[in-house]
Amino acid sequence: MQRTPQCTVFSTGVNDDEAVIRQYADMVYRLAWAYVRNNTDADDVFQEVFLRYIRRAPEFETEEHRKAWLLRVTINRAKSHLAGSRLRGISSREQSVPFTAPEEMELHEALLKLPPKYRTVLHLFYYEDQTTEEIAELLQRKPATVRTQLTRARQLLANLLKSEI
Amino acid sequence: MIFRRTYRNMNEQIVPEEVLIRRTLSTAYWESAHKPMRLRGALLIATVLALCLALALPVLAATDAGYALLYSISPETAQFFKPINMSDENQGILMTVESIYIHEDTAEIYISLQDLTGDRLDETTDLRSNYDLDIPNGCESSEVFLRYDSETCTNHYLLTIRETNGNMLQENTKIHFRLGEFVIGTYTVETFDCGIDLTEADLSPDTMTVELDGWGGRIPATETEKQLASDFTIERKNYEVLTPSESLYTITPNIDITAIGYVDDLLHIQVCYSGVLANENHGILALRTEDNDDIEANNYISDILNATFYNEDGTKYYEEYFFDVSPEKLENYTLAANYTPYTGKITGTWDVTFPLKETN
Repeated sequence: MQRTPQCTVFSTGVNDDEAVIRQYADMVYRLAWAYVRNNTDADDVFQEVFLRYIRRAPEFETEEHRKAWLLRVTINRAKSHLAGSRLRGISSREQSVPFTAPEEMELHEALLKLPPKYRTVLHLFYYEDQTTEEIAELLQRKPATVRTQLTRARQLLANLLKSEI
Repeated sequence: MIFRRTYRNMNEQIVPEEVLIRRTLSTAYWESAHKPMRLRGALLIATVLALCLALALPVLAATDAGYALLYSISPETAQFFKPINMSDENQGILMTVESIYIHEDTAEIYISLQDLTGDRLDETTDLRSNYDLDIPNGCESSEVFLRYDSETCTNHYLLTIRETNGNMLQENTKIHFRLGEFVIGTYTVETFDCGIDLTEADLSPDTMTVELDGWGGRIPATETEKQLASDFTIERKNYEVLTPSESLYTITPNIDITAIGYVDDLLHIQVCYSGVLANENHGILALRTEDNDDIEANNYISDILNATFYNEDGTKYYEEYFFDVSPEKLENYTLAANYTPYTGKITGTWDVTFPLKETN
């Protein structure tokens, strides 16, 4: 949805926050979904990330810095959230998925079986088009570790799908 | 499979719902409005009113508290909500349908509950889906608690109601919204170890056949789970469950673990609710390993399915959880529980009927 001109007249900050949320909503939600693989938990992570953003009101030199901050917080919140939701056992309860094509359902089920850390690097590399160096900085790991995880994730996925990826 | 292309296509289908964005903004607004900065709140209200006037919106709508709340949450979407402002009072509780937004098969309704006689309502009040909306063909619903106003003892909720078969909601249909009861004083009880030795789970326990009240489960991921899910159909009436025993562990008063054993190679764990808690409960059991610090080590096993049923006279309510774990592995796990019981409920009848009109 496009931001409408009247939003800019507010001086409370509420609508500046709304503009940021709408700009990065899909990115945050998809990364959260990549980690937790269901709507309920992704909704919770989404809300936690943006509430943290609004509460802390961080300042950024560039838009890239804002994007990196949101990606990093999304990963951290998703990790924390998954731990809690596993205890509550609600992580994938009665969830519907939007996928209908057979190859999408097959890939979804294979991704469900991957450890979340592998799903994260796959998403950042293949969907967000981040380099391994950028992913390493986001995850605060060595680039070599990220490359190893990426290779391992591809191997596991190929085994699960019984095909090259 | 071309992974990158398939994965991209999948992600394009994953988008946050508009209601989620509004809920986030609502929470943020409510937090900021309750900081000790009165000037900020006054400024926001003044700006909302000024903006409403500038946009030539009806003055009546602009001065309405519910509409102002919506506007403060999200000006972009508030314009789609149609003010309703119809109320019903019962048991000293005033229920108001503030406004509604109809789009395609979905109705989003803002409602408020105000205690006119005391302070029975607060953040621990939970509707627990005890409301009906008379829509032809039935509907499914979810609710979000938005905020509690301590000055007026008012709770605000956003309900999202979707026509079951995905049919468009018809313009000029009369909507009958009815709230029957809600619970108060909800609290969370959490334990990481119920102290039950799972290795003593009975491998051939006493069982009985019951008619289920309901069941739920996660998306099947393994062949076992798929088979189990396909076995639970609404046509089948009778299911084999554990025969309840005396309490093995009390999670919280009136919530007890009453049986543990294997049925058809699945570990069943049964929880019994009694007394005031014999319905409307939220809770979950999980099996937990000791290495609880390693989040990614799959150190929790959640149930793959749970089934619910009542005893013969309806005074006790049972939840039976099914876990796909072999007896040999049980020594690695403790039983963890997380429940949200309540201290009381308010029962009454709150009815509002209003015409449904497309609001966009």
